[in-house]
Amino acid sequence: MNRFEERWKACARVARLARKDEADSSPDWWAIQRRRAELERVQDPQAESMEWWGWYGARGVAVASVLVLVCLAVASRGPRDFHPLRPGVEDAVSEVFWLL
Amino acid sequence: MREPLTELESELERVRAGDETAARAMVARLNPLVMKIVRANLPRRMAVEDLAQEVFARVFERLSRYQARDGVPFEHWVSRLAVRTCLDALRSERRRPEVRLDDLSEGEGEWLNYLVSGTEAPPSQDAQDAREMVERLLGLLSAEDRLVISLMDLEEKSASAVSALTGWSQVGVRVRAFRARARLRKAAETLKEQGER
Repeated sequence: MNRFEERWKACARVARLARKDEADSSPDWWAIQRRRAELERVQDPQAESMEWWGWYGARGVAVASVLVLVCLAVASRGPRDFHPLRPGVEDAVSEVFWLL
Repeated sequence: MREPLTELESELERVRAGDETAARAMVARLNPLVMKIVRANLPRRMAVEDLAQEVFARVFERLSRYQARDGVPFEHWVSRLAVRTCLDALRSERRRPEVRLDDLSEGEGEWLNYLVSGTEAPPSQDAQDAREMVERLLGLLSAEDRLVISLMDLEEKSASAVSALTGWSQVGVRVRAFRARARLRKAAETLKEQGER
């Protein structure tokens, strides 16, 4: 052990005395209150279902937003890549489609 | 045939079932243990009650996962949860506080001199000054370094006890403690040098 470590340990030893002076008294009401709130939440099916809807609703909106953005991105590129069929071919396709 | 429940198991069953009296008794019994760990590993800007509350919240949340017959004593399981909660709180401190020599009281300055200068005799045995100095220096370390030094040097726990509480290997604990003390020394020297400029 080097000199610093020896002195650090001496300092820590004295510091521990200050810690021992602290009383262990501490109100436990908050822990119990929190436990009670948790139990009430679990026992209340409506609260649970609202939570469920909130969780899935937020994720649903996020997914829908991403899909809209993807569609917009695809649509903005669309007209440049779009090559309409010649009228004759288009008619033939329509006829086949309706026959099906 | 099912074995009869021990006293602890029946208490846990009652707490899990929502018995408030049993929960209150459990908190009262665990409070000294939790407070001791929390006080020893408290981020500087956090109230001890807030962090203790977090620990109890985790205990209640995970109570269903604790199996008394796994061989892990309940108090040990709670201690481990408390240590991990403290570590998370220390990690979430946005930035390490800056300490300047001017911020130190006279007593703290004497302890700093004793730590890094040639002062032979330890300063006055004012425990509060020593504690403030220790807390300031620990506040300059990373969360993991601070935890290992608090547990080993302030709580006087062995490397194997720290290993059991943190889940780190015993060798890892010793190496981390050695490096943490070296960083502590560097931090103390830097603080002293800054004051002399």
